[in-house]
Amino acid sequence: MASSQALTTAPQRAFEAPETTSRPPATIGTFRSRLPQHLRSHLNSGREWVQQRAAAPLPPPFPTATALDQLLVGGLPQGQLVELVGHRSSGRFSTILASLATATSAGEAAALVDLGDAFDPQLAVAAGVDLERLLWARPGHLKQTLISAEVLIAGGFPLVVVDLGTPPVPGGRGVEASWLRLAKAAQSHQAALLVSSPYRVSGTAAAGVVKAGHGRALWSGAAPGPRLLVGLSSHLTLQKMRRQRGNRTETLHLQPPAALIYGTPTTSIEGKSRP
Amino acid sequence: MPRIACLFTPLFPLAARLRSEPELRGEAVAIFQGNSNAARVVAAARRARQVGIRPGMSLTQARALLPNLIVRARDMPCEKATQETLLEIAESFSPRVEDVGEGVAYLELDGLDRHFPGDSPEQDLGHALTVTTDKAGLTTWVGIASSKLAARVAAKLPASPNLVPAGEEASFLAPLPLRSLAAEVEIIETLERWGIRSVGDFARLPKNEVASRLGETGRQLHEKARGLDPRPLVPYQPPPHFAEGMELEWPLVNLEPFLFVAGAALKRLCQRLESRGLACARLETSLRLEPDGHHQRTLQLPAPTREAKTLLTLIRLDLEAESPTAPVTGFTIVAHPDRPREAQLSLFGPPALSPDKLATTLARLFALLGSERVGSPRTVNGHRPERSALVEYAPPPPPDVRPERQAGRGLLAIRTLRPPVPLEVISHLSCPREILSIISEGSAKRPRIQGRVKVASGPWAMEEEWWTEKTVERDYWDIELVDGGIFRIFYQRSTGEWYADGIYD
Repeated sequence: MASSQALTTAPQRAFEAPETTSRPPATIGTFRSRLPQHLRSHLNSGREWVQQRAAAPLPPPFPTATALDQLLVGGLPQGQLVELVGHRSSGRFSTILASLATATSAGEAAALVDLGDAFDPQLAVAAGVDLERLLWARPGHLKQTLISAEVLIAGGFPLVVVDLGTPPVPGGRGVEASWLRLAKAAQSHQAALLVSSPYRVSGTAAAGVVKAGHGRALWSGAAPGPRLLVGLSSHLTLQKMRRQRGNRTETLHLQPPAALIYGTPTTSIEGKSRP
Repeated sequence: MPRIACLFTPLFPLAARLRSEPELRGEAVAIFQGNSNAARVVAAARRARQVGIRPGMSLTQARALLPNLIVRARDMPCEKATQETLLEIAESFSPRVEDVGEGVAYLELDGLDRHFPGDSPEQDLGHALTVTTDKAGLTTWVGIASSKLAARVAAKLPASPNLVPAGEEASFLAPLPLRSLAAEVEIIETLERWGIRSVGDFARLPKNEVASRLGETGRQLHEKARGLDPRPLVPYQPPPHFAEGMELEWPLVNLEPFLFVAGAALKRLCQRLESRGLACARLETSLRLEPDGHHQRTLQLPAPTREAKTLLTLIRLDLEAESPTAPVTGFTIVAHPDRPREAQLSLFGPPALSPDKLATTLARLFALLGSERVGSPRTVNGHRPERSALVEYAPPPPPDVRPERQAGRGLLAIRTLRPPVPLEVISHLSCPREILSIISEGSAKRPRIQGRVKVASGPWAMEEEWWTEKTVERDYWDIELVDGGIFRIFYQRSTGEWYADGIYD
């Protein structure tokens, strides 16, 4: 009887949709359950992989001893590219100098790729930079800058700071693929990479973007009398950071170096005397 | 009598060629010497020998036997590098090595049995020598005996390594023909006229009679025939540098094919340096040009390295900057060795940079930017803000314990403008009121600074080297523009010109 039923139902089923489509799709759990016990943990779906990566503990950040530490929760994240954007006199250069000082004074090696050739060793010493541990590379073009940074990251430098100077940047913004490649290099070598630029250059390659606002100069003295630059106040705003809340702002207070180059102020050009 | 090992490379010209062109292994290859009709085969690979190609044949005869025969000219730079490699391998086993040339080297084995504590230390040593030469791309046979002649004869036998037990050298050599003692000695002919055909026959003659009739040369040959070899090994003096080279089959015009063969040579060079625990401090590239020119380049590396990829990049960048003027027919790459930098890892302090990696990094940056644009910054005595100095980057070892990070000093840094940007300044009572950067040729790449001055602070006098003719006299101002931006500008008294040399940032 059973065999006759099967014979009669077979032609009907031939005109139906294939059996595989009517069956519910096999989940990753189904596949995993069919694997031997010791292999199950190796089979993951894409979603699980992303979740695992997100849940993995991050390496400790690289402190900079500036307002960046508050914005980036501890400092520059290792293995990621952070872009610091700001106009002239926004405190951008002071911030990167402070991060170099923090790293080198702790015995770490650091590298500065200085496209604008703006680094002043005398000022850096005053800021606390250990010059012996700092590698200073002075490229002349953005392409050289990117290659230099990649070479330095591959060379094992734990902190690489790229300063693109002031506009016009030789080479413009560069190709986004180059920035992605640089970010990938930082990730694979677990290097902290800080890019300081007058405008956004790295696109989606940046894990974090901090914008330095227009700086406000602080002057001592009243208008008709002699004035003295006593500081600069600016704001750093976190525009983007993976796994963090954006749009947070911290104030940056900076003081000029005391008597770094100047002697006694004179009241007029002719009033100066020789030492 | 000391025990002596002989390293013998069969078909040495072919072995040297296959070392530089490993893709030819297993092919029907023949090495020839001479030009046009005088070209003769000196060595042939197994597949070529199987069809009857033998040393001494003309190239035409060899091609008639095997039309698809791959022929290569005998390459002296290649053979020299191969011989040096063989000697370096021998030196890695024993400090007493003799260079015989043509793929043969002797090494003294006294004291080496302590490194091979097995049942048959000499057998193990022979295997170790064979394995090491195999790794270097050479097929070498090993013979061990108490005399050079016996060791060499044993090395030429199949089933390497071959050992001749101590004291049995005479019986080992006895069946050999007399010519194996020395190929071109008149004494051999004399002995053959006496009816002596083998080494054993000669060894049986009385020692004093041989000396009285055949003189000193005869006495030495008689000792060799009896398995005695009192002469010590002639010490091998290794060259102060490592060289690899090649004669190219046809002249190369493009850089890429040259870099392909040069890369393989550099890889071999770096392997040799690594086996000696050395690195390359200076690299010399000598190109032979068609028809008889030379192109010599020298690269001084910032730190010793033995990374072939880096060295190849440096050669490429150098040759792109200074291209040879004619097609390249051959090349020799010489590496001047030095000790690589070494570092001690710390348990608690920050990690140190790997010396090898640092050397590679510096070499790449030097090639990319130039030596004057990479280094460690230093302060310079003086007052001009644009002053700076650069020294070789050699960071001190990191501290044993990671120090506390210092809190930020909140220093307002000044972005130095090198060279200073020339300005046009409208001033009132010597105080700047409005500034504008002067547009000139090349100023398109410089920052544009212009605007009305909101606050000006100064002048701050600076004078440097007033006792010399290069006096620098400047009056500095800190200014803030209405549109934003705080600048450091100065008035140059000697020329009456204004410049901006820094941005407070």
